[in-house]
Amino acid sequence: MKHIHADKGRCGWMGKLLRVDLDAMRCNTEPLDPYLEFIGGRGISDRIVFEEMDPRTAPLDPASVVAIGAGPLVGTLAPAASRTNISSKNIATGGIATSSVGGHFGAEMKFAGFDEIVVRGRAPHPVYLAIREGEAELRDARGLWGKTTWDTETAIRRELGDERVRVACIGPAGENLCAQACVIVDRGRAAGWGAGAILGAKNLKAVAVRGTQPIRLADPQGFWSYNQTLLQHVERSRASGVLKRNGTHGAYGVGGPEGKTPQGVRNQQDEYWPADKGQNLKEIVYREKWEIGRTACTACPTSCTHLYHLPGGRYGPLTVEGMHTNTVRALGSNLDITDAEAVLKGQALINQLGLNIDAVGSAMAWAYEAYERGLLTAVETDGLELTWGNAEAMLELLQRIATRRGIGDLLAHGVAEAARRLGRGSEAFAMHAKGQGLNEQTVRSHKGWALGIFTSTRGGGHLNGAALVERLGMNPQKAKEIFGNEAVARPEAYEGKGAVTAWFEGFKSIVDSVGLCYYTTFWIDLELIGLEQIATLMEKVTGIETSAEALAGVGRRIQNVEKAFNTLHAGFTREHDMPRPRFFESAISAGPYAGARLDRARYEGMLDDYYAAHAWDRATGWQTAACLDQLGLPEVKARLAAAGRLID
Amino acid sequence: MSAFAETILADVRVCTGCLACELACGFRWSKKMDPAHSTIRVRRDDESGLIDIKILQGCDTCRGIETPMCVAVCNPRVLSIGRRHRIQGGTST
Repeated sequence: MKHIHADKGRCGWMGKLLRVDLDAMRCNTEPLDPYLEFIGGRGISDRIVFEEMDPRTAPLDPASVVAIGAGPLVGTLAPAASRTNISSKNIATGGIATSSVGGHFGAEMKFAGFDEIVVRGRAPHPVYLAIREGEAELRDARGLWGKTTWDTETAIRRELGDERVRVACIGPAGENLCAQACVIVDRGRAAGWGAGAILGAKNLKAVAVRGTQPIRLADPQGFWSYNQTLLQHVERSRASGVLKRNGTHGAYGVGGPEGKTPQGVRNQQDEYWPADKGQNLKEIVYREKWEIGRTACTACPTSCTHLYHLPGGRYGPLTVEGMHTNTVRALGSNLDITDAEAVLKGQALINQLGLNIDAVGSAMAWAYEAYERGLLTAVETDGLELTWGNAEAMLELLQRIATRRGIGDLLAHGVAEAARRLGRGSEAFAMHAKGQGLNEQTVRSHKGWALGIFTSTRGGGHLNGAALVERLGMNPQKAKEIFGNEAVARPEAYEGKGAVTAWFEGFKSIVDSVGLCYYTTFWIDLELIGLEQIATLMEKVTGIETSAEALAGVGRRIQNVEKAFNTLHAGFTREHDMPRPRFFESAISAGPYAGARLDRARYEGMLDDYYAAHAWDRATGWQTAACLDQLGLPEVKARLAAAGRLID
Repeated sequence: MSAFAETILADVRVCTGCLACELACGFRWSKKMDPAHSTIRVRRDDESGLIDIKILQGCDTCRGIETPMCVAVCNPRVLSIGRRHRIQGGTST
């Protein structure tokens, strides 16, 4: 990328990085300039975590580093430019953890004066970081320890005397070092993948931000005009309309628009849930009974989140947001639970306790299956009957995991480690990717989707390389025009999926680095924001000349930093990009995708194509010297070579 | 404010709290992303989920601009310009 604005790094970016040393209880400000080639958000956070963490450092060690970043578009009117990225070492996998979260925290962090916060060390007692108007201070949080995320936010706003303070905090799950602990922003938005426990280990309860510093624009009028066109384009798109009306729950979840999106059922033993069960948890059930409005992240024209209010009943009064398709699967179909009200209560608990829905969902589903098989007994669960469909047990289990009581202590290690500790053959049905708990859909039926999940550097999750294009109903000719292969539009095809997955990995790296939301991009609707539009936004906001091609290159660099982190810290090889055996062995039992399962040999072929697209070694899955030379990552190459994990 | 003066009207029932209006209003004054200088304020009460929108003194409804900038970016169509003094379902100061 070429800098064309004289005041480099001062438009779009605030230009400052905050270093927080909790051992010394000290905060220092540094210029962001040395990091700008990685753009911001995920890119800069990844680079910092890669460079500053020794592979021998455990995630919960004080020397562990957490980097919180908001990219150059965050806080602007660019559509849904709201995302904050958190990168750290992953408790569940030992590799990289990255997570993108919406809400209003990222924009306020910029207005408070910072693009990036880097935390290391361990405070002598619970503290929270308050950043206001460019000044950072560590404040006593002993009075907040033990509080839920919702009560923490309220208490911090009261203490700081400002209701517009935005808070990212941990709940009891993070304090108790649960592998599934996440950071909650704005009460209902989660940055998952274990960062909550890392902050807990550091005695850092929360980060609170508030400021009035403006974000400068390199080309104000040009930005306004271009962005208005883009906003209207997003607003009129089919994807935005569907998400606004139905949320991700209705669009992709149980009882989706065609009622035929395969969902994980009973610990992903199946992906078919009969309509007589699914209809109980359809989005329209929630909308008609409890919806009071929609909520949006900063500058988002789509507002995919629905706000529900239970006035009374078993769990009311209760106002809940953040119900998404993953909630309905993790707390519904994957536990065979059909109680809509209990699922809503479960979503509230997940937010309040600070738990990651995918990770905790997979641990609970594993426990239910172990109970069914007699590998866990009622004695070991302290009388909790983990029978399929038992909603009250699910709600109790969430509490026990977050507070590590009884069986909850075992599950708080995460599904892979819990299964290893229990043994008794239970590892066979611990559903994870690289050790990270898995809560998925369409894994057996949509082959590229599966590849994207199992090659994801952070361990599972479908918001990286998993190509939604398989579900967009493209005609073959258009698929060939855009992706060079007509097969990418067919879910059952294995051909062409490797290259598409690699491409979307790089694309998502850019989306997360500039600070946009995946839901307003090319990923969800081929008419929406792609690299060309991102390049134009970047030029008008930052004054830095760039292009789709240049951004794609940065995306590949970011992917390669994450890949190297995994190789160095976790020792991952090709076998770690393979799905769990269940997805090869058992087919979908009924419905439009009856009989679908993954074929091992064809998946291996797809994986070969994926490595070839990345120019990585097929036998090991490791990076090659040629690839890193081409991307200009000499320090990554040197570290891999020193560890004997570089292919010449 | 005269009961018949043009003002920004808000239907808080459909507001999503995206704060685009604050960003647009701040931009109108400083040509930056600058919500601190916005003359519209949006706040959500977390317990009830209800939104409150305030139009502050200094709002000139973007005199000289065809569509007020807060209205131009308001995707859920919460905001409009009109001559009613009271804001439907919300408050004004």
